[in-house]
Amino acid sequence: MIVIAGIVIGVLAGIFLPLHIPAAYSSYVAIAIVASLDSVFGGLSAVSRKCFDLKIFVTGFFGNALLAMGLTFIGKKLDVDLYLVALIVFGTRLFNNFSIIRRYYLDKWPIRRKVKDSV
Amino acid sequence: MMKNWKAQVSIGLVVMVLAFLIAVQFKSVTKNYEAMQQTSIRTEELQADLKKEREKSDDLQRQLDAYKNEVEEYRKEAETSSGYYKLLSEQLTKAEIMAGLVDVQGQGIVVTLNDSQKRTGDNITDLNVTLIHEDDLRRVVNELSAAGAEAIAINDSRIVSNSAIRCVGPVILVNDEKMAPPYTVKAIGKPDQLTAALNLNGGVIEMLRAFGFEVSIQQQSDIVIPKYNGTVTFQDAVPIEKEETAQ
Repeated sequence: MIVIAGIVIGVLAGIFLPLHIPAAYSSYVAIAIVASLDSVFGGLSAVSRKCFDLKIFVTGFFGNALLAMGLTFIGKKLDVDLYLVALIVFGTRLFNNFSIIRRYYLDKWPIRRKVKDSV
Repeated sequence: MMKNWKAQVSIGLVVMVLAFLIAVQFKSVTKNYEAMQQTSIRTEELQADLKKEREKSDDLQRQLDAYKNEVEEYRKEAETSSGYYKLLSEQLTKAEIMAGLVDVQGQGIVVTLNDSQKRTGDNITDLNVTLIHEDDLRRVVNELSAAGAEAIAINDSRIVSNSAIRCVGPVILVNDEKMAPPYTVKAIGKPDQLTAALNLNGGVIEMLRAFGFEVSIQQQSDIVIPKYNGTVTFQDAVPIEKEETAQ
């Protein structure tokens, strides 16, 4: 529930706050979005594996975002698309974490069915 | 499932940040794209405007040429007819020579000025003293005028009453035309008189040669000096009308 509330509040704030990102900085925001998407999926998969640690989650969220933005910045200065590194790592982990979450729910599903059947 | 409230709250917060970022980014990217499109539309508008103005300017130029031809015809007519008109046309020719509005030819001298060939190796610390400056040109022109030159041109740019000789970085501006050495100063007048004025003891040529500049004076029997290229407009100067004395 809190997750859904977070989505709603975030979207509304984003739409109604008079905030505009200039074109020069939009790549940083884009990489930050990917980084936080990775954090969310990582957190969810950790919860499903029952090994969620708040410290790891919070440091991972801020650390990954800052590192990714730093790579983007240095990449722009060096004329090398270093943000691709962050993009590939986050993308791969996104699918890995998703598969873990998927398995968790797929494993739960037949149990429920069995419970239902047994009733 | 999510029994761990810490996990719920923290993931919820991060999801909020994520949603916020996505919304803002979405908004900004859309806006930036629109702004970009508007810029290109603006460019096209300006290009169209420029084209229109150019066509207008061409039209006006054609009109001007037509009027000039008309004036020329009137003048020819005036020259052929006798008396008062002839006098007027002679006066006009004289005024045009004075104002530098017609090409003129006649005897005179050609002065060529070039930078000194001395270089930094030859005991020179400041390269500036090896270059012809606008002041040198001005002095030559001034001396020629004083010696009775009737028409003067620097590198075929006619010196008229409101001509300026200015220094602009590495080049010299004469009548807003950029000039670089060698400078050729043509003057129509009595050749001996003009040469003598320039070669005066302690005069301008002697001074220039002392600095190592290459100066040569040629007397020629037929020099052509082109007319002034710019336009002369009088916006502030208005002739004073002489009041007729009632007698």
